[in-house]
Amino acid sequence: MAAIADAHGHGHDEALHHQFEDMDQQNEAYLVGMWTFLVTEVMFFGTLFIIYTLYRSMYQMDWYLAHEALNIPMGGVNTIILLISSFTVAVAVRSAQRRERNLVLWNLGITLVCAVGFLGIKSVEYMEKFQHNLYPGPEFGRHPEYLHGAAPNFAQLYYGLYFGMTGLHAVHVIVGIIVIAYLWVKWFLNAKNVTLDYVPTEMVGLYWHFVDLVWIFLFPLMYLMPKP
Amino acid sequence: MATTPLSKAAGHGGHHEVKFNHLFGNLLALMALMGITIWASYVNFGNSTINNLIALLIASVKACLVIWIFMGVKFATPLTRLWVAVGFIVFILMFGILGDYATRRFEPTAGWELNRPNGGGTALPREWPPAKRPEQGAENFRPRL
Repeated sequence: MAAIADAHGHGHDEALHHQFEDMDQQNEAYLVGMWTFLVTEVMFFGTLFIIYTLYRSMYQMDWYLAHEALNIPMGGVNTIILLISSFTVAVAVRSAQRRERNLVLWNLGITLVCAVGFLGIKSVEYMEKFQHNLYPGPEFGRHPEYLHGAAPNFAQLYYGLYFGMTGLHAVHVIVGIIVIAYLWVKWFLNAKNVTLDYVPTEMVGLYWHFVDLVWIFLFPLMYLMPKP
Repeated sequence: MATTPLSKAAGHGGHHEVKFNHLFGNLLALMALMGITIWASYVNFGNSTINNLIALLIASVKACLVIWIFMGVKFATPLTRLWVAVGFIVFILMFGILGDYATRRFEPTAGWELNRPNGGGTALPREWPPAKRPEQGAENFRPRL
């Protein structure tokens, strides 16, 4: 097989695994595999978005009132942070293609800082909600002034989905931090399987863009409800 | 050909190098769209459904920009593009599940009442139509034409 790869004249066989004809085929297999995983993730979040759609359409006014306790500036800053981190990951992938190791390290580093910053802001928001007894459970609504006049049952449903969806998203951010940190170390140590082949960096990038994608929908749906 | 670096061989070697300005422009567009989303959520269009549609439309445009440029689907092979498209089409089709909730009555539950023509809301299972008994007459089991 190596002879076939050589016939294409890439001079790049170190990254080519023996079961593939050439880099084109290998990269396409990688990409389709990664997208298969991402599509299952879309379905995973999709069910939650369906639950959200159903109950929001039923309890519009109460959900609007309950959502007034959310901190829009913090949500907005988190959106900006995720957009910037998505951009830096895209630049890191570009740098990986150009084999510019320093730029890859810098851009992945900025992405890591953004991810940690996102979780920091998110935890400040969560702390505030916990202090105001806005987490679902027997203590919910102990301070009715933070419900802004919403019926406790319906508000609890809203906060159940708020914590469920943003919490699941936060878990994905944590996984992203672990994976990007691992990739950073690989690049730092000049590991051949990332420096000779840009695709591992691209795979991590695709995952991180997906995390950004989910937040693009979560932000308007959770934070920016119009008055019904 | 043998000496052409992989990164220079656009369209050959399985990847296309994106221009930096392309990526940065995409970031600026996403930021601007986020600003429009926040602004539009405060505008009174007379009907909040319009706000919701605008918010979802902008979010979809942002999602497309991320998928197309950042995730590189623009430069991907047709097979990869097909994979991506099918995934999101099935995601949209999944919302057909809501049709089940729209066409059935809800079981009234204490504490979850809503003043609605179809009997109020609940997070609990839906009500089944009462079963017809045989003594009511066998003709009840035949469809009326």
